[in-house]
Amino acid sequence: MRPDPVAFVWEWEWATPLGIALIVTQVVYVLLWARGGFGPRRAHLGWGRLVAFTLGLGVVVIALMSPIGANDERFLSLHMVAHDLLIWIAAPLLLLGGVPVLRDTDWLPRPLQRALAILTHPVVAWSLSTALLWVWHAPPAYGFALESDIVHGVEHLCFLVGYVIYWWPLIVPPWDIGWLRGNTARALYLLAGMVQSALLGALITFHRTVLYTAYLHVPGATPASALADQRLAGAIMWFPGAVVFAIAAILVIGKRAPQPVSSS
Amino acid sequence: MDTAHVATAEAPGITPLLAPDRANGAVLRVGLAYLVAGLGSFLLMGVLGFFMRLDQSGIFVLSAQWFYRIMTLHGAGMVASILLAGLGGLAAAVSATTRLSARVLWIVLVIYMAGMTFTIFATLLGGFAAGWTVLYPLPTHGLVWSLAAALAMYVGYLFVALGLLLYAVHILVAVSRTYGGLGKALALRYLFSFGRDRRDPLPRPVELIAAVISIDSIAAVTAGTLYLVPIFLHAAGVMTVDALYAKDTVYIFGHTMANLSIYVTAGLVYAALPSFTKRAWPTTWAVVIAWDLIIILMLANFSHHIYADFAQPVGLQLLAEIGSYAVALPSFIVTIIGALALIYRSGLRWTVAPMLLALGIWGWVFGGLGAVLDSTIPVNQVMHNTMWVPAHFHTYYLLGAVAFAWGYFFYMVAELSGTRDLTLTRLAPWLYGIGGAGFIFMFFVAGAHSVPRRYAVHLAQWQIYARIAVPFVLVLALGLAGLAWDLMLRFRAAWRGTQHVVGS
Repeated sequence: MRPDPVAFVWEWEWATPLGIALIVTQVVYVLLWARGGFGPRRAHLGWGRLVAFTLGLGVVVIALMSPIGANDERFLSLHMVAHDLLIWIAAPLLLLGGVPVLRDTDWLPRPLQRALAILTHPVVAWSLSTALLWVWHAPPAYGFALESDIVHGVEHLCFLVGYVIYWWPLIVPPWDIGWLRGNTARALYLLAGMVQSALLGALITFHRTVLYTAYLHVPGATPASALADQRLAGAIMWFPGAVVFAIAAILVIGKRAPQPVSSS
Repeated sequence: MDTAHVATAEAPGITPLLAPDRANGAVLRVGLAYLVAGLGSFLLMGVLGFFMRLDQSGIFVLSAQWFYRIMTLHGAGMVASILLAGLGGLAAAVSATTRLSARVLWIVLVIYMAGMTFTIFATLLGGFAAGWTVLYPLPTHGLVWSLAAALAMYVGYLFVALGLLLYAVHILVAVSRTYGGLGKALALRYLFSFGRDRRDPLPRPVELIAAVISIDSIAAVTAGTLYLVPIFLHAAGVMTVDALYAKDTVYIFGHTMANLSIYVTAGLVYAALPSFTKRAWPTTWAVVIAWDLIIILMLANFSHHIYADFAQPVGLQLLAEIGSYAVALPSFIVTIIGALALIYRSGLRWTVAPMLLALGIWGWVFGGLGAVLDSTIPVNQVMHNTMWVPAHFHTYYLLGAVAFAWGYFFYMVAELSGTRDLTLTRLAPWLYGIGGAGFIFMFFVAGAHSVPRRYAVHLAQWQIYARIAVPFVLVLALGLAGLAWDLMLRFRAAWRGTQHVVGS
């Protein structure tokens, strides 16, 4: 069951559709970034935004195509690393780089503006991200994702989108003075995000039987090795989350909410 | 609910809670958040404690596994909760004259609460039940919990310690900056000149206490690191750990944390009481020496928990006995005599806050006496594993530190909201005091009859003490509910009182 470390490092899985989608996304982003964003009001967006977005896509590549992604059907723990990378690293980086490109949402159709406003309300954002994380980690849904590449892709897309929405109220775009202006609200929001993912991680860590039975059928796996892998996976969901949220607290607490962009 | 102002800040030498232009409003808001989180967690941990007492009385029997899980969480959670409430109050009190960063304090809260989450999940979900003292090697050899649960508990402690470290460094730097150096924040020149050299401006007692507490917090976290790093390396299979080394370091960490929570809340008395007595609490030489000595003495007495370990060097045991006596006396006498002198013929109006502060002083006295007795080696060898030990620490925690924290919370809410507590609420400290005293007295009686502590299953002849304690717990709960209800009604107004401030 234990992989050969050297072979493992080179075990990349190049998924052509995903690769093309990521390249197209990067090219479109660079063009928009160079143009100064959408809409009539353009401005230099800064190299930091470009770097953040590019790094965000890079993390997606590492999560899904590197040995981490290539082996996620053999090891639950690696699968959990991929999920961590998507929700805690890629999502905020993509948001940090991507949101300023929109400039504002005035150019969007009104129903879309309204939908965005609802989705990014902190209660909705937290509930949605929590629901997506928990539903996809329910053993039947998880097993279904392992059986089908398309469902598996949808699962990862759900995590990415769900957590872009979760981080949105904290990484407030300049035109949207969000709900989380006060430090109390930001601290509570971060704690709520941390507690739900920690609870999920703890439940997986301490479960006494193998939850995701597909891992029992991996060549070389035994019930004991699958359970050990599951415990590690739960800890990977749980322990680093606290570090991520502590770092997020350092980055987002105490910052004054930006002033609304003048429409003149 | 009256809207008349409660405590005055106009008497000379008394520092109002709100700085001019409400410049410290943002810090007061964090202080309130700490108090809510700390005292809210205290109530939840109290419910767990009640279940333990019900089990010991035979009224509601828990399985041994659940008893020890709850015992572990109750212990760890109580220390962390009361310390958190005290830290919030202390930051609020210090911020009246010292510039603190609300941002740092919020970050501390997130990190600290992350740690508490780990301990809750490790015990309730992971079944970790090795006691809050996490004495090596038991945590890593659990038969009913996994290594992951033990690691989660340790990581929880790590996060709490990190939060405390960040808080302590911030407070220490801020107070030192205000007075032009650490030595001046500790009033060392004034101390060593026996009170003659007054060239440096003296810190307020609460700022002196904040500096002292911060130094000891950093020392405690250092000891915690010296404990945790080898434990993590042991868990990774890199090294083995000497059990006595582990026990000593974990007690320097844990015992100091528990002591910190008491001394932090005692510091709040210095900040709040003058507002009610309309007399300033000056930084006298006695106050300075008493609190500066705490820096060393608080770290020297941990070994009184290790008297039963024959391998512990005798010198450390003697140091523990001397340190235990010494740590109790100066701060104890100075604080109690100072508080009584402030109250005597002051015309103090006995609202809820001063009632709770006075209750805390008496709880501290009786708990401290119980602790001094227990730290006497021949007594300890008989009493240490009996209910006498929970008796003494429940006395100075529940009737001391917690009463101080609730009292300071009432003081803050009254000051910030400009409202008085409900007349009916003045019954609550009485219920709290009577319920708490009855509950704790039964621990003392059980200890005197050699009923062992940390036993999930109690013999029929031991159950009578817990049975008598149960109604007192209900009275205590009624008192606490009254306090919480009053605060809930006025909290919004207090919160608003901190807003529209500079630097928010």
